[in-house]
Amino acid sequence: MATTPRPPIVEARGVGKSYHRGRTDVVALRGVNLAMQPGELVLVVGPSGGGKSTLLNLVGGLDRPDAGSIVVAGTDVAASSERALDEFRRHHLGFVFQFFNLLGTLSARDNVAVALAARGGRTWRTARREAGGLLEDLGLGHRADHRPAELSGGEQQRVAIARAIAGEPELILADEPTGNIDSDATAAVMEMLVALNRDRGVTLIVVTHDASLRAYAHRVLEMVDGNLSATRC
Amino acid sequence: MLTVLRVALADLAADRIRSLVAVVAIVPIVVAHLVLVAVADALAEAPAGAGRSLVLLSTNPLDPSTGRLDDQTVADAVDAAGGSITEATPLIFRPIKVGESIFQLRAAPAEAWSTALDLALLDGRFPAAASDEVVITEGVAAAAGWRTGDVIEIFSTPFTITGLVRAPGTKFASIWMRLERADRLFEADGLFQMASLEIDPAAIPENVRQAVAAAAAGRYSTYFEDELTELQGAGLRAASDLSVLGTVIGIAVLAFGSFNLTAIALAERLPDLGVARVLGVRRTPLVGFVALRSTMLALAGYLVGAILATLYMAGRGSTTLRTFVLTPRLDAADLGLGLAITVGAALIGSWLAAWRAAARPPRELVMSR
Repeated sequence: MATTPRPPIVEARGVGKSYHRGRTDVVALRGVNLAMQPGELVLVVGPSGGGKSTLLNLVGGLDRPDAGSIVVAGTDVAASSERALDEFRRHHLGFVFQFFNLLGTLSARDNVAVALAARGGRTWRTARREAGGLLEDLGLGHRADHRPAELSGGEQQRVAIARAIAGEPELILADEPTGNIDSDATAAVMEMLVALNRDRGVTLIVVTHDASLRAYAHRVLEMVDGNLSATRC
Repeated sequence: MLTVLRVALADLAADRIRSLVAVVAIVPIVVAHLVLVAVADALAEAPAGAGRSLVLLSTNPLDPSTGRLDDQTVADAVDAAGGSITEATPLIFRPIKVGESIFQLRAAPAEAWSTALDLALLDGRFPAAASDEVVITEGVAAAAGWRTGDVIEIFSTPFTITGLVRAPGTKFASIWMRLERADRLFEADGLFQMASLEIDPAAIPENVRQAVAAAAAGRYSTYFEDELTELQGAGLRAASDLSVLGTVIGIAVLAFGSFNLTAIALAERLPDLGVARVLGVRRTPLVGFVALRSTMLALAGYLVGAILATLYMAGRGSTTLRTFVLTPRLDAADLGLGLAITVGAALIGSWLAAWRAAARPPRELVMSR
């Protein structure tokens, strides 16, 4: 019996994006095409300013393309309303940033709980309890009540990963997740992301300028001057 | 909502110093507003005096102490009323300084105190003839803290307070002396500053007034007593109302302050807003969170201000404004209105600032670090 191919979780066609900087238009993406199957771990590498983060922002619905279409988990993120994009991010996506972007006034537990509470369907108390469990799973149970400023860079990034996987998204977008941590922490974070992909089937796009991370990916794409190309399958 | 409240509380608690400063900034204006509102209320409720008594004055009603009336002038006024005046009472009126306070001293024939002048004895007795004795109204007692039996010095002469009286209208805060004693004390030679004419209950007050006024020939002006109270209090009430308006505007300015403070506070927390948007938090609840946070600070400032204002007024008891001795008290309506203005101003200001900030795309917000 023939198996029906699964629809791609990410499908971008002819995506273009420019930014206005003063009187100059800077082209960030030039007709980018991308298709990803559920469960893939794709690394996007390339020099700074090449358009990697722009691609990630567009896939995540944080910004809108000037041209082309992007469909993620069945949602046309280029054409959706602001409210629909909020809904889409809430239920389908997790983000990991280079600078962690944790809420500095809240504890690690509360940072994760906010993401859970945003998804709805649970009380704040339940969200905090679930957040504690997630942090425990990631080896941060003993740091749950510390604020970000009291955690190391690696620990903060692990909290950010816990926040990203809260609510079990289908897709995690990681923008330079190891760009601000030391080499030991880099290995720990990448192994954590790989484990999420392997054990939970989470699809991952990891943007990095660190070519040494290629070994963790199923597929590596290179973004140079707004053009995306495959470097290894 | 409960979750938003909890997160807002946690957020405020995380930066206690800044939260405290925001609260402290609101307190003084709330205290000023509530005290002035209470004073304005007390002024509005000050006793107005009788509408059936005519008062003759030979000078400006706001400063009767320089007037000069004599018995003949009053007799002419009574004659002009054609039998509609049942009692005519001459009054010596002087502002006097006792210690650090200035009070009205009024002197009238003893037989008129309980009748024409409506003085009700609350404690002690009226002054005896040919004695250095006075009575004081409850307004004076409240303002000066004097009691029956105390000795006060008036024009370098010691006088014993023999009683406490209640008096309506402009007489509310006065020291009372027998007319003949005041005449000797001030060497008045039979002249006095005011005369109170009691109108026959069967007569029409306005007709009597017109008849008395027609006979004045420039020697005096004619007022109903409640009208005089209103005149003397009008300036104070206007000043008081203006002060209240000033503090209301001050609180309303909190809206702009709140807008600016929120905008400044958000400027350094735009990435946090961005992260919330990335997590899928919609703009409205996010703005609601920021507005709730500011509103809680305003509410805390208001509560502290209201407590301090209440304690201040309870500690002070009464206050004297010209001839009025007032005991300001806050009622629920005053407190509710102040609360509504304070919270409303903070809510509007912070909502606008947060709405404007959160309108930017999530990418811009996250990258604004």
